[in-house]
Amino acid sequence: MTPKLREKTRESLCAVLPITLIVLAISVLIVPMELGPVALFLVGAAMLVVGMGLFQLGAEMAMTPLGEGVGAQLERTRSVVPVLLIAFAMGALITIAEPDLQVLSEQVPAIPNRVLIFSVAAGVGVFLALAVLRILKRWPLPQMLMALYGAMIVLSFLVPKSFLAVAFDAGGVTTGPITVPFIMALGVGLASGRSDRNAASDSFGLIALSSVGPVLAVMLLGCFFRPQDAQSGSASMQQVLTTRDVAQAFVSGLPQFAKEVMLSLLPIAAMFAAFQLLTHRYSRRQRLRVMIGFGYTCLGLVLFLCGVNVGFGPVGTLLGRSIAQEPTRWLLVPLGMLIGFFIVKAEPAIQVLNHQIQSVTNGAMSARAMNLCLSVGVCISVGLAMLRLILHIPIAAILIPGYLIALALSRLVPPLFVGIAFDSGGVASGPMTTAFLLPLSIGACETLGGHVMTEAFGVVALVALTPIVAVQLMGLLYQVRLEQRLRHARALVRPGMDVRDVIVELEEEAA
Amino acid sequence: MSEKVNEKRRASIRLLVLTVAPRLAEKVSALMERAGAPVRMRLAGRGTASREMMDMLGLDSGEKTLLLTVLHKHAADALLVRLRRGLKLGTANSGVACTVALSGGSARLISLAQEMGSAQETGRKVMMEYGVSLVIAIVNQGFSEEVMAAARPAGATGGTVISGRRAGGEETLQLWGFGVQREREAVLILCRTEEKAAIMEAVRAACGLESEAKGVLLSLPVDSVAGLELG
Repeated sequence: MTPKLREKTRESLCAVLPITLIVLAISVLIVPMELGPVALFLVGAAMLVVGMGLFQLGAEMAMTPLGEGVGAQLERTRSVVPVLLIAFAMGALITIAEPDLQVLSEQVPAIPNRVLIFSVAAGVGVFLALAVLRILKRWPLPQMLMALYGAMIVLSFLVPKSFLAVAFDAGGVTTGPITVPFIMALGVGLASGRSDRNAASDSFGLIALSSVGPVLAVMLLGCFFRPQDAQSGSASMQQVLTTRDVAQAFVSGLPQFAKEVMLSLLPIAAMFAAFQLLTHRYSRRQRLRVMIGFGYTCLGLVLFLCGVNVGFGPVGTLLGRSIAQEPTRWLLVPLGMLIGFFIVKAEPAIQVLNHQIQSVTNGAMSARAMNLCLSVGVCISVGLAMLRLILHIPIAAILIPGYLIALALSRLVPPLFVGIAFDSGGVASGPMTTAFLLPLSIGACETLGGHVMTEAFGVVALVALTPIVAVQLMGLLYQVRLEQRLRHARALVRPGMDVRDVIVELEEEAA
Repeated sequence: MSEKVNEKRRASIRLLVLTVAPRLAEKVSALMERAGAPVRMRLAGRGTASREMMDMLGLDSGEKTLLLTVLHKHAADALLVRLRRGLKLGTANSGVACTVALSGGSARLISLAQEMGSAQETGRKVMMEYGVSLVIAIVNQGFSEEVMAAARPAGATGGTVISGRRAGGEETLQLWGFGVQREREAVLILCRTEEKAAIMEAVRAACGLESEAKGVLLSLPVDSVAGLELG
């Protein structure tokens, strides 16, 4: 086994095993479950491990070099207009192909699917172009975030309440596992042409700005369409009794997910072909590697999505429904927090983000610290989401103060952390959240007799919010630690030591 | 121009370059802190693949962290010994460290290194059975594996790649001739000094300035190493 393979296997096991064990423990101790869904769940978990590993490998081999290449090339182009057009087209195309968006559009019956998809895609396109322009023109990110998120908060007062949850969810959902590695790498490439002191922090913020687009788009749509009730999102559960049923459940899901993944990879693959034809950037060896990488990404995501949707989804709904029943109702909060703590790790794009951060900051921010930070963040957000279900708190009462805190923190924290924080918000809410946490909260909501559209939804938005606060708090801590280190270093300079700033020429001492 | 002549000093100061897997970086930091290494710089790099097939499948070349620090020779050699033990350098995929003699530096840095070095005893000398050189090949982005493919038959056992970028305007690019990309990669290869010439020639033939890789080569004398497996 090569070290790389060992590293990837370890990584994906670490990501998937904890959440699997937690859910199993809950099913044994608190909510007894039939063996059918448990069998589905275990097979799903196994698929997640393999799919996650392949996806990471693929993102590293295909998405990262491609994104960095496109970014570096865009940075070099002197005129701004074509760059903006390309960025807009990229953002819009990737979003149209995003499978999560199709799912979301079906959950909002009030708006015709096409209208929703195209306006969200346009939203992402416009904001991605804006984000690229920001890096090229070196506009400061915190101020931009302040303006855009401020606009978002103001607009949220004008939108029908029932749209609010879905609008904020749209922001988290549209930046999916294919988009994230590519856009992150694009940022690194765009900033790589510079060597000024803001280059590292400027390579972040693309995801943050691109996730504002869909929120604003759905909110604007909400002003024009009359809200209707969504049909309940939890799918009817089929009876699973035999091993054949288990196999059948997964096999019948595969073609659909394969189609989705292929469709969403298509624009990026086409971009790679066009880019290579225009610039001849990649050597023969790299081209081959990128293509194999696309293969890995595709296979990995199909396995991942199939595992999580077929295996995890039904268990999520079941858990939600049964825990929400009377004697254990309040257990929803601590159990939700426990699940939230371990579930971020299993989000496929998170590991890509952490690696990127670790390499851009040269280890100043370790992947481990990021993982802990995100875990704590999502732990709190799932806890809040469950509390909201029980107490029927409107979503705006949590989201608006939350975003205000996040914006206030962005004034205090070094800009690098602001970019990372707002990016990680968009990344933390991926397929694991939509396919497991959402069914969980829909299940709980049904039992508690709440309104699915306004109460069960919004969990994605909360998962996207808390990491922003958590990562920025870590930034504050980092600053404090840095100052301590500086003091320590100053103490090393003894009195009487030569502290003049002159150049010394050295000669070897006699051996 | 200033009349000032630089100060001269007799001191053996070393630049220590360590390449390890990123997960070991924290441990290394602790070891270096204890050795009193005053300035540490961290760079991100990656290892080169050992087999072509594995490279194509993306299963080989892992991430590496490079740590640079400036130390007195005594302290540097003592640190090499401790690194070799603490990180098991020399076993498969652990890492490698070498030191290069410095010929000058800022007074504050040198003084700090001297001060730390004087605390060390001279006893622990790293024995070198053969001379070692550090070959650096700087090529266009994407050609590092080609460099290794050429260097391996000539005796190289492995390398580390650091991504960088050409500094300088378009005019310099023209001077070098068409095809020097902005993004460049530096491949660091530690080898026996007697094999150095052959390795450099092999890399030049495959990835030199006349090739698509537009590679330039240089080599440095290495003072001591830890963790280098040369057959």
